[in-house]
Amino acid sequence: MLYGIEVANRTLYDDTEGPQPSVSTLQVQAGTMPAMNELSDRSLMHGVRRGDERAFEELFARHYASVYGVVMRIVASAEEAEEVTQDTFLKLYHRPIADGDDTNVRGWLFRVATNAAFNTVRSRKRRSSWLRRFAGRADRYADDDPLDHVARRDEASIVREHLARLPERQRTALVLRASGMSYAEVASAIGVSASSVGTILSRAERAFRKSYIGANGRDGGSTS
Amino acid sequence: MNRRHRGCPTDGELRIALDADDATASPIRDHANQCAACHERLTQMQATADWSSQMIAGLAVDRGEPDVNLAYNRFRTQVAGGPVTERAGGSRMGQFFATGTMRAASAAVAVVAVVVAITFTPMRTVADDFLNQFRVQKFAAVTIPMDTFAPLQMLAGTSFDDEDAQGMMDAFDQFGVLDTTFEFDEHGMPDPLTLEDAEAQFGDIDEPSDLPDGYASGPTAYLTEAGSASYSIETETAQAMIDALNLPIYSLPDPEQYPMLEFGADIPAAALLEYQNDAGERIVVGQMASPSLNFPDGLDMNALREDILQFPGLPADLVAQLRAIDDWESTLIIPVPEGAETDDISINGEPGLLITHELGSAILWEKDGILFAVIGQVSDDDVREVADSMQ
Repeated sequence: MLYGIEVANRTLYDDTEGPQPSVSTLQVQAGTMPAMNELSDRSLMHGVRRGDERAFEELFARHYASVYGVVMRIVASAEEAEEVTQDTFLKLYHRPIADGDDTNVRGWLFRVATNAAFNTVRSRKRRSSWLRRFAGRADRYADDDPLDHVARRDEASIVREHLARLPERQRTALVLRASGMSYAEVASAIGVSASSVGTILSRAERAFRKSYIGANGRDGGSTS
Repeated sequence: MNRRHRGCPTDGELRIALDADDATASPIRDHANQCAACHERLTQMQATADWSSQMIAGLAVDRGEPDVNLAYNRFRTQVAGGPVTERAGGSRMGQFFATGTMRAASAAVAVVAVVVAITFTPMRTVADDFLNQFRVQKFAAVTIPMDTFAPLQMLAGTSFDDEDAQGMMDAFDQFGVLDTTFEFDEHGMPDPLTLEDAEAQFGDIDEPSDLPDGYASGPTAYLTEAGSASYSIETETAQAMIDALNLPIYSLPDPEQYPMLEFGADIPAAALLEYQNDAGERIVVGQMASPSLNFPDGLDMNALREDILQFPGLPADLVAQLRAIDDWESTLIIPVPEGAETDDISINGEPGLLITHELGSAILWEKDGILFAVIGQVSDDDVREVADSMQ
């Protein structure tokens, strides 16, 4: 049954040239139009490419909360998390994933969103760093004990900054895995085979710890 | 991490075993129990994974589930609105500066543009009002020590790198509003055209009649779109920023009389012709009408320029070079890095500027309101030959 629906909707949203039947036409003809929430992400993506607003709305409803949750973990600001998540869906809306590249829409959303979230973290750091230096406060910090300086800062912010420094694949794998995704889901999101995820995770964890300890001179503790 | 021996599991396999259920992981664990090196690797890996997991778990922020319906309504509002005017930087300017290869060059250009164009570039006072406008008629080279990147880094007292430039733009983004007709896409490059197609859109495009040996005469053409951009900031906000940064700038107008400062730029379309030799080296010939910069009413650019020339730490020779420019109304200042040589030259009777560097050469000149540039990975003689042949 599900296969039949998939086939029907692949046909419905086929990207080939020529006039395409509308959803309502087929619905009437078949008398059994499946509900949007029964369609796979890929079928919905076909619909989005055809300009079907309901298909996009279903993708939005299906994934917004989980994407927002991961982004929130990275940026720790409800306002910024919403902005990043909304921007991610805007990208999907304005430039739908091409046919053939859309086998993992959820992975695409997580990859784009986590990158944007880490960019937000880096931008935040750059902004404060630049303002501090421009204001001449850098000299004052230079006289301080670096450990004292670090201690003054929010621990979670430091962790986020070190994560943001990792290569894109590594940091995305770490965060998605920590958010409860399976190896297969992480692999799909970062565009590698599932067997490579273990390698990427082990490198990421090592690099993350090395970066943190190298900068802070200690192993850290709870970030809450 | 210990090195693994032939036949031992890879790091990836060990890492998977840490997360896998007993049945899947048992061959790896069995091996580790018999191999001291792998046992140590697994132990260290477990410790690192636990540490990493604990650190990331600490980032969890419990703010409850988002209201997806509300979020979708907001999304629809954004899609329906499609505003051209946005808060700067987080959006289009941010995209522009984030685009791959454009970013490094753009960051440097941005700093130069902000510091030089907004403060040092000339303005024209029309009648007795405060209309400040600038159009390019000639060029002046100013050598800027790039390793210290004056004057910004002089104030900071430390090096000024690409990330700092981005940070500066981000900081500006917080306070002003960018309104632009430009669309910055991900690729940042216009589509290649034939010369004929480019002329059909742009009008006549001047071509060089001479090219150095080995360069094909049929160029690839690119057209950039015309557009405008403005950056608005509340005078009071600008003054607050200046005060917070402890900058010695005293020339902003009275906020009550001039509550807003609006900087504008009108950028005409430009045509670029790219010639290439077999080695892949390029010569690019560019042409465009002069862009114009508009400065805020009420802002005395002469006074602002003087304020900035008084910045402590500015190299005396840089200040001297800037002060030596007498025609501020129409001279475009071209910052050149140390190590580049510049020479005032004549191209078919028009004053021009030759810049030579180990990476290549460039010539800029203006004729009948059109700015020309020839840039290439060639000698100064070659680039001059190309420029001279454009009559």
